[in-house]
Amino acid sequence: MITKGFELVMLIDDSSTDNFINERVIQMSGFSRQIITKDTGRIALEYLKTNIENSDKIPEVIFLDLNMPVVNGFAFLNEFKNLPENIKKISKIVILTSSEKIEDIDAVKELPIIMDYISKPLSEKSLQNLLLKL
Amino acid sequence: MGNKIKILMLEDLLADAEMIEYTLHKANFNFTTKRVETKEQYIKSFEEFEPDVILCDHSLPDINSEEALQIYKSKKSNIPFILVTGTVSEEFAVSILKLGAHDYILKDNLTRLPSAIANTIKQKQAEEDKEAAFIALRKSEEHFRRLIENSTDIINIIDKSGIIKYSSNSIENALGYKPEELIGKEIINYFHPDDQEKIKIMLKNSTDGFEGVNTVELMIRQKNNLWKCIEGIVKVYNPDGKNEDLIINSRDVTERKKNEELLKKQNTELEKINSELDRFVYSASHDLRAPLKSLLGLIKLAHMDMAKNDYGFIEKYFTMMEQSIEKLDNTIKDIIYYSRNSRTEITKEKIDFYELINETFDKVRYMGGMDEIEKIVNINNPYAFFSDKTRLSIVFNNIISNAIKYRDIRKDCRLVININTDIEKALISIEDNGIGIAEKYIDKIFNMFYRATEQSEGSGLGLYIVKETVEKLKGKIEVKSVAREGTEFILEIPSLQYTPAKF
Repeated sequence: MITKGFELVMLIDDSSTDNFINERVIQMSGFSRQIITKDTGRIALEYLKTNIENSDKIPEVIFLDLNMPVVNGFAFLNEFKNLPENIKKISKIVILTSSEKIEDIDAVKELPIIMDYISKPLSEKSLQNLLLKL
Repeated sequence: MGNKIKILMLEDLLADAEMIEYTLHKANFNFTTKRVETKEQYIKSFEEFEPDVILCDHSLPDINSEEALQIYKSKKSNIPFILVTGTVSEEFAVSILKLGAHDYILKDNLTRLPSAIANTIKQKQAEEDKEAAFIALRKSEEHFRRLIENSTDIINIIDKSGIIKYSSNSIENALGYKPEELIGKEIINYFHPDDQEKIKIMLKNSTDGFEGVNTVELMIRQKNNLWKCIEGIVKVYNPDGKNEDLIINSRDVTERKKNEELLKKQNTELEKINSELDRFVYSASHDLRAPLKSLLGLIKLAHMDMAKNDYGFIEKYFTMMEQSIEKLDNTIKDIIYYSRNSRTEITKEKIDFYELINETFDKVRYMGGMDEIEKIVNINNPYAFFSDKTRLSIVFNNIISNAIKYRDIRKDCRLVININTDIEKALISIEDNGIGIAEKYIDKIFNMFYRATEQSEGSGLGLYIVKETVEKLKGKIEVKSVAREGTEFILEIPSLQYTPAKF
């Protein structure tokens, strides 16, 4: 059980099953008190833009799936870069994905806004490791 | 001369004959003789004895030397005919030589006889050799001329400045020009403007003393003004060491070029197929592993909950596990259909559309949402329609699944299926009032692994399979859609009534 967790995190994944699983794991581990789930990168961005003034509505960690249709993880990252500084200061992005393409992993590791890369599915262990890094 | 020389002697005096033989023996001649005295014997001996030399005395009882010579000439013989006689006048000797005798020897000076015989024989041999050589040469020339003329290759000889000096006959067949038309003309005029540089370089190279062989590929203008692709091998041609001409051996490579182009095209296609395959394998394996990972996640959650005796979510976990497994199974089925469609034969059977659609509705019932959709089916099937039932099922299955997946839950969902057949084909329309497809994506929906909406949970293979299947049935498919209003798929499938059972 994690003692010092976060207040708010966001899950972005097109699979409702995976969102459910990850949400459950986060709940049970105590990694975060509140969890928001979004189905698409677009909807997630809309949420962030809407809550620009409201810093306690901005998630401290964003778990992002790379492989989504239309607006995939990379597209989200591109848009996220252009968001105002106060959002970028709060939200740390963690890539959560089953993508095995070397190019994807390397591309991701380079970006400064990415904190870490975790394989699906989330587990309490990987969350504990993440906590150490953050 | 290993063989015995056969000598025919026309001599009535035995003593004289023996004297001649004695002289020849002394000279180490290898010979046999036959002596004849009469005209009749003489004539007979030509055929029977087949002499190599004739020694003829001047006067015999029933024949003289002139007559003997006439007979010799009438036999068209070319063996040496030597007059061996007693004293004759100078004029007589000359006249007999003029008549065709090869030599004459005086009987009281027989020492000259051996060398006279030897020389005339040698001379005859030399003439025969010359004749044989001449015939052989003529045959050889004839042979080579025929080779050149029968060759489909074209042979040209041009001088250093590019003027044509010789053209083989084969040029007429190949390009339509008679050799005579080309002699004296500049070869550069017959080539394509783009190739003029190549020719100039070729001519220059050769005159610079280039020793080897140049190969050029050029477009040449035929008599009928069409272009032909020619490959020419150019070599310096210097038979008498004086001028330096060029000899060009050319052949028509149009066929070969066509094949090269075809090969290139096939290679490009193969590369495309290979990269498609790579993409497919990556996407397929990803799509197969994702549901398994979800499954794993759910199982772990179940473990964790059960360890705490919390059974609140167990039911939900199992439902989601089922969905993951269905998704996995469907992806695998899609892959199998995709691979099978291109390779299995089409079977022909009579189609019952009601049955087909009801089976499809049953199959997609697991998807949930089926019950919320109003289904309207109109079938007008006056003529028996024949097609491949399995393939049609796949088409219906995929399109109807999509209609359910992409329904707009804010509306009253509706699915309308209209089928009309005539004797040749079936026209099928499947229309929904779901979320539709944005105009910018409509062209791409049939692409492999393309998903046009964020709501998509599918593999992206469904419509690709539909398109391939319809094409395999030699039909057509069209899609009309307006975002947020709905989508209609229109298919035209030909009836297989008059085709064989399997193809």
